[in-house]
Amino acid sequence: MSQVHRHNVYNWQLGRDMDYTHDAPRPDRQVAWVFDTNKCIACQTCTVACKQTWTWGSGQEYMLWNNVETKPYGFFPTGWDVHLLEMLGPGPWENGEYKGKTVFEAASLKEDVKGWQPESEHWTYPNLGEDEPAGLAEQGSYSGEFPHDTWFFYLARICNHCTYPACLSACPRDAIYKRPEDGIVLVDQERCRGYQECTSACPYKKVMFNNTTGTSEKCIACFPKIEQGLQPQCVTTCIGRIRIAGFINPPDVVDERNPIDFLVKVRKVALPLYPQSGTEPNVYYVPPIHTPREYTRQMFGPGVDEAIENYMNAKDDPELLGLMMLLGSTERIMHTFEVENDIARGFDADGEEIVAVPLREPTFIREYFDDVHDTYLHNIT
Amino acid sequence: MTENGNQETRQDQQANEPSRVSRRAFTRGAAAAAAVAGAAAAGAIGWTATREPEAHDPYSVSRTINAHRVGAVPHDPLDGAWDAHEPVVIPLMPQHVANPRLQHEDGFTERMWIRSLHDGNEVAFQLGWECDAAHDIEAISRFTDSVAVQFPVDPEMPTSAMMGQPGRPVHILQWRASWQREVEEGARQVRDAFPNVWSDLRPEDVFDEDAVTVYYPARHVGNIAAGQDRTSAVEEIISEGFGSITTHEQQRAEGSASFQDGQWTVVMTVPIQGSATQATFRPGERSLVAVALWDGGKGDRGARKQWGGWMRLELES
Repeated sequence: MSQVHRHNVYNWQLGRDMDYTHDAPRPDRQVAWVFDTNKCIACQTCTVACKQTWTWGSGQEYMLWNNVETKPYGFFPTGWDVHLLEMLGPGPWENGEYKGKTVFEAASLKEDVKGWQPESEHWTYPNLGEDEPAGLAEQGSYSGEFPHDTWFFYLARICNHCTYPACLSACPRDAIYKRPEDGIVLVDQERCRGYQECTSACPYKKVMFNNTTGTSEKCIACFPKIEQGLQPQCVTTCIGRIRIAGFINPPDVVDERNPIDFLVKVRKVALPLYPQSGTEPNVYYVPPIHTPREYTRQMFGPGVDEAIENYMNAKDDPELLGLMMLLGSTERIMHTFEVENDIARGFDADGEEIVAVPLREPTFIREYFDDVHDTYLHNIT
Repeated sequence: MTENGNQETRQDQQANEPSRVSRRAFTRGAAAAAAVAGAAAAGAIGWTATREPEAHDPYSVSRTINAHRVGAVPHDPLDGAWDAHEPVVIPLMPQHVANPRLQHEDGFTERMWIRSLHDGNEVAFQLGWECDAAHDIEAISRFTDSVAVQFPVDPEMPTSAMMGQPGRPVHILQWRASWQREVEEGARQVRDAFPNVWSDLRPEDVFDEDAVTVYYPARHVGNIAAGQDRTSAVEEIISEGFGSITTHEQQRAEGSASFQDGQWTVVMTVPIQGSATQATFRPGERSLVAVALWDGGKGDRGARKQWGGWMRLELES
């Protein structure tokens, strides 16, 4: 709570130690997600699934614990990440180590976290900038090579259930806590007084004020599902199968059979969103392959080039391909996976098989003309 | 201050840390640190239970609030009975000890005034200050005007003016303009802040009352801040240091307010008979009172506030 009581913690995403307000031991387990931005079509099924499950009460009208925004011109709330980058200022990376300041290190002596408080106007346009590309597409232009001259991509966002949550730091009432059993970050609705310090502090703007109850609320990682071994609503309803939720091991532990560890630490195709915030977010993104690398590195850190290279190699990487095929194939949390004989299999915490998928679906092609019905077919595969 | 109080050590105070934080190992360290910071802060402003009592006797403060005896305390902030007594002007300070601190670039509220009356059953406080407008709606980035008075639960065991300290609680009465509005105009609605809001389906449109509450979790768990049937604009609070304010299970205090010509006038009343965790005001005996003020229009809330140190409080016999 006070500037003089800072703790030194290790943030593996920054490649260094950093200041934090709490002595924050890692939880026994940490829930984590991987989202593949390249497969998201912004259908907003995740957004609607979350909304219908959790936030359709009065006072939550604008509240989207899950949202999908178009980058570079989409934001919810408006300009959230531009404000974050502006607050932190330029922050160079050197050999994988972040040399800039985090939201904790950039804070003045009068606050614990450098924050930005959105006004109600900033929450008014959830899909501002939808499908707006960076730059104009010239007549006859063709985007055959990477990066594309004209581009946009979809960024699906939920609470990052950070290892070092800024919302928790900023709450003067200790009303926000991180569960030791799974690392889920929650607002205690009994203690919250609606001071909105958390809504200002969260770099990702994923704590929101309920205008009816006068308290702040946030994504709860669908903890009733997690507790039953099931993945959250936004994951299981994703029609593009871009998401997976599981548990990530601590930085010094790498389990190649753990799907999250494999994507984040082994193949390193999934990266944290704005790691420079310093909160060690636990939603990891496969970065878009077609966007300018400078922009992409600014958003996902220095691992972008390696991530894209390994991701583009998936067709020749059965393990990675198999795991990507398992995304969205089961409602249950996969603790381990394996790929053998062109079949990818997922297992639960007890090692029981819960799903199996082929690496390549067989393709059947029908004749263009259907003799039986004397008609042409529109769909022949 | 008692002999026991003199002998109490800071370590003892830490051991008395409220049990509410013990279930959260993750935040325990910070809560304890905050409590220590609070004790240190109390020392910095002139008093803490661990220091020499002679040099830091809070009853040595010169300013005294006299609660005059009347037949019946007025609940109306503009009642003429108040005018018979001179108000005491209280200089205020920005809260600059615990984060987040008050950090207005365009100045803070530098003073307020207070009067007090009692009738042997109730004690009343009339509090006034200048404010550019009445801010009585809480919404996204909108905060309410508020004022609070604070007393040591046990006047013989005085405590930190900054919301008490572990083992030495304070009893706080906090009035909020937004709660006053709710008492007078009904439960808070989204429409208060956003008049043109439209929602095509809400839980209450399809479920019965019992089933609906789960969609309003703060209400469901009984958070007084989320209350729907508010009957008082004043909350009785118990506190043992920064970040520890907790709604008292017994709510008796009442409030009323007037905003005219850029000035708030607020009256808070509470029975003079307290309890083990609520201040008892004994005519003829001394106690202490301190104040805090929030200008909602400037974003004040929580620790972002103006405050004043302990003053003597004496109820006329």
